[in-house]
Amino acid sequence: MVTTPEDSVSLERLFNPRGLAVIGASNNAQKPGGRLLQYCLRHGSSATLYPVNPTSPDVMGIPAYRSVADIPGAVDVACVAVPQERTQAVVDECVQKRVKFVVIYAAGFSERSRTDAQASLIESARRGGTRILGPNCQGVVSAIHRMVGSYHACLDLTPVRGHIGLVAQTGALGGFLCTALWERGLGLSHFASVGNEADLDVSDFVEFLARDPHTRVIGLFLEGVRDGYKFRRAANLAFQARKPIVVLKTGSSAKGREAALTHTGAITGSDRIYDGLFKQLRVVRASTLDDLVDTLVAFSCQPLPAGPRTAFVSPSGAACSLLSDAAESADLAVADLASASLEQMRAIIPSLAVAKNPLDIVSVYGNPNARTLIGDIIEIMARDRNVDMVIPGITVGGTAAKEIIEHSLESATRVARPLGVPVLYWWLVDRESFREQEAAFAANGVPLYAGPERAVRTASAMARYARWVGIEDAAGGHQ
Amino acid sequence: MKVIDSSALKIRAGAPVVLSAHTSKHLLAKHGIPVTQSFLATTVSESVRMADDLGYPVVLKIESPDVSHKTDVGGVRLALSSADEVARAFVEVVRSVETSRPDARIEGVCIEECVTGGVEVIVGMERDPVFGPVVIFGLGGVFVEVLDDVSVRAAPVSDADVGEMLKEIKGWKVLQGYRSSGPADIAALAGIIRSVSALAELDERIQEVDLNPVLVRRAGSGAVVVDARVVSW
Repeated sequence: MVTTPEDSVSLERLFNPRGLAVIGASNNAQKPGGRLLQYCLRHGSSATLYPVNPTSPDVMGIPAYRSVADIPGAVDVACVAVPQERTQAVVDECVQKRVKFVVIYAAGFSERSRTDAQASLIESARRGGTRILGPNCQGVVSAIHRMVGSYHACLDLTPVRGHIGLVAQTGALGGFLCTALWERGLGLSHFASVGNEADLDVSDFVEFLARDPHTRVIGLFLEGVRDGYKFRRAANLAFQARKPIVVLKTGSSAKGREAALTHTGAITGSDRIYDGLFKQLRVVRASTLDDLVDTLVAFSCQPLPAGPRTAFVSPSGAACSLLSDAAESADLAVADLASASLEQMRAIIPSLAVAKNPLDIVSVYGNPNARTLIGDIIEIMARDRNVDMVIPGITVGGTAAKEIIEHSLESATRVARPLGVPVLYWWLVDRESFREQEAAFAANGVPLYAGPERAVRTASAMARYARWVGIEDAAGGHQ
Repeated sequence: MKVIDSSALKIRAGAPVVLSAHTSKHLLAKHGIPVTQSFLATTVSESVRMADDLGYPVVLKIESPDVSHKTDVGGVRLALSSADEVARAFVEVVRSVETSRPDARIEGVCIEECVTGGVEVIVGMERDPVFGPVVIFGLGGVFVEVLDDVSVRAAPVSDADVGEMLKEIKGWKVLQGYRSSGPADIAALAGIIRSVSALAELDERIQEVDLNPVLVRRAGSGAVVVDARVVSW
C-alpha cells in the first residue's frame, strides 16, 4: 500500500502549471529568456504565459509585465532567466507573489563555493513556501502537459510524449538525453534538471515519477546523492510501483568524483557504496550514456520478461556466435527450444539452416519465405514456453529489410507482446537505412539497437530487474 | 615493559577510539557474534596459567591499541604447544614490538585458542556520511587487499541482501568448496554479517567494525571471528 509521506512535495504543478512566468523574457531569441519563451510558443505551452520584462509592453506578441508583482493571475512556475547577481531580488518578488515553484538557471552558487548566496535564496523561499529548482540547472519539460521550462537546445526538437521520466543533476547532458530520445521518435513523460539541488533534489523527482501515472520507467543521471535516507525511500517507492530506475552514476574514478564535486557540489562518496546500494535498492546501473538510453527505451515500451531465457534469430552465423558469447557474459541463458518449436522451424527455414538456438537462417536472399521468415520465427520463439525474450537481428538493408521489418514488427507486437515476451532488435546496416526505419520501430514500441551487443546488454538489464521482482514477489512483497 | 590500564582507553569524550582486539572481541561476544576465546595476560606467569587453562596449542598476540598489523612487528606467535613456548614467546613478542614500535602502548598479550582450517573472510562496517552504516564483506588476504573483491550493502540488511552479498564476490566459489574442500558454513557466515548490521543499528557509538579474519569452517562447523578492531565513541 503506497502512502504519501507528509514531507513529500507534490510536483504536479511544476510540470503542469496554470500560470507560467518567464522572467527575463526578451524578443531576442539569443538570450535565455527569449529562447525559453520562443520554445514555449513553438511547442504550444498549455499554461498561461506571463513574460516579465521591465521595459517592453509586449514580448513576442504577448503582453508583458514590468515585474512579477504586476502579473494579474496566479503563477505556479516562475522561470528565472536573469543573471546570477539579479537572482536574489527576483526570487524575493516571486516569494511575495506566492509563486509555487521558482526555476533558477544561473550558475555561480554553491558549485562555485558561493554557498552564502545559495543559502540566502533558500531562506527567502522557505519563508513564503516557495520551492526552488536549481540553481545551475536546465529546468523542466513535460511532454505530457506540453510544459516548457527550459531553454536547452534539445527543444529545437518537438518533445515526444512517452513513458520515460528523466532526472539529471547535470544540465547539458540531461538535455542531450532528451535529444537522443526525441530524434529517434522515443517519448518522455517529464524531464527535470536539478542542478545544485538547493531545495528540490533528485529524490523528490524520483518520488514524484514513481507516483506519476504517465511514467513507467525512471532515468537518472547522477553525480551524487545528498540525502541517503530520502533517496532510499524514493527508490523503494519506485520498486514497489514496479517502475525500474536506470541510473548513470558518474564518479567511479577519483578524477570523475573531483569533476562532479566542482560541477554541482554533490557529495559523491565511494563508488563501491553506490554500487552496493543500487543493487540493494533494485536500481539498474547503466555504464554509458548509450546504455542508459537503450535500457530506458526497452523498459518503457516492452513487457518485463519472466526470466533470462533468450532466443536469438539472425541471418548471420558469426552473429549467432557473438550473441552466445555476449549472452553468457551478460548472465542471460540461451533458451532450450521445445521440440515442437524446432519442428515448426524446420518447416520454414532454408535447407542449409539447422533448427536450434541461436538460429542462423543463413541468408534471406533466394529464399521464397524471406519476407516472412524472421517474423514467423519470432512468433514460434515467443510462443515457446522455454523462451522469456526474443532477440532478432537483421544484417541486410534495402527493400528486403523493409519487408522483413514490416512483417516481423507485426509478430513482435501482435504475438510476443500479449504473451509478455519482450522483443529487442538489432540491425547492422548503413546509418541512413537505420535512421529511416527507426521511426517504424519507435511507433510500434519495439526497441532497435545498433548491434547485437547492445541488444544483449539491454536484455540482461531487463532480466536482472525481472529477477529482483521475482524475489520480491516470492517474499510476499515484504522486505 | 610498560603495561597500561586498558580501562583508560575505553569510551572517552572527544573522538572515537580504536578498541584493542581483546576489547573489540569482548564487545562482539556480548552481541552474540562468535569469537575465539581470548585472555589478556600482563605477566609471563599469567600468560602461562591462561594457556594451561585454555589447553594447547594456543596463539599469543600482542595487545596494543596502536598496532593494527600485529604480524608485521613480530607481535603474533601461532601454535604454541607448551608452557615453555608460551613463556618464551611472551618475552620475545613484547621485545619485538617495543623495538619496532617504541611509541606503541602495550597492554599485555592475548592468549587465544588456536583455530585452523576453513576459509578466511572479512566482515566490516563503516558509517557513510550520506547513506549511514554500510556492511562490507569479502574474502580475506589477496582478494580484498589486492583485487578489491568486496560487496557492500546499507544496514539494515535483509536475509536476501546477505545472500546476494555473498554470491556477488568473485571469491564466492571458494566458499562453495573446490577440489577436495567441501562447502563452507555459509549460514554461520551470514549470521555474522547480519549481526554486524544489527550492531550498527543498535549502537550509534560504534563507528567502524573490522573483523579480519573471520574463519568460516566446513558446513555445520560454524564461523568464528579470529581478530577484530572496533572503533567507537
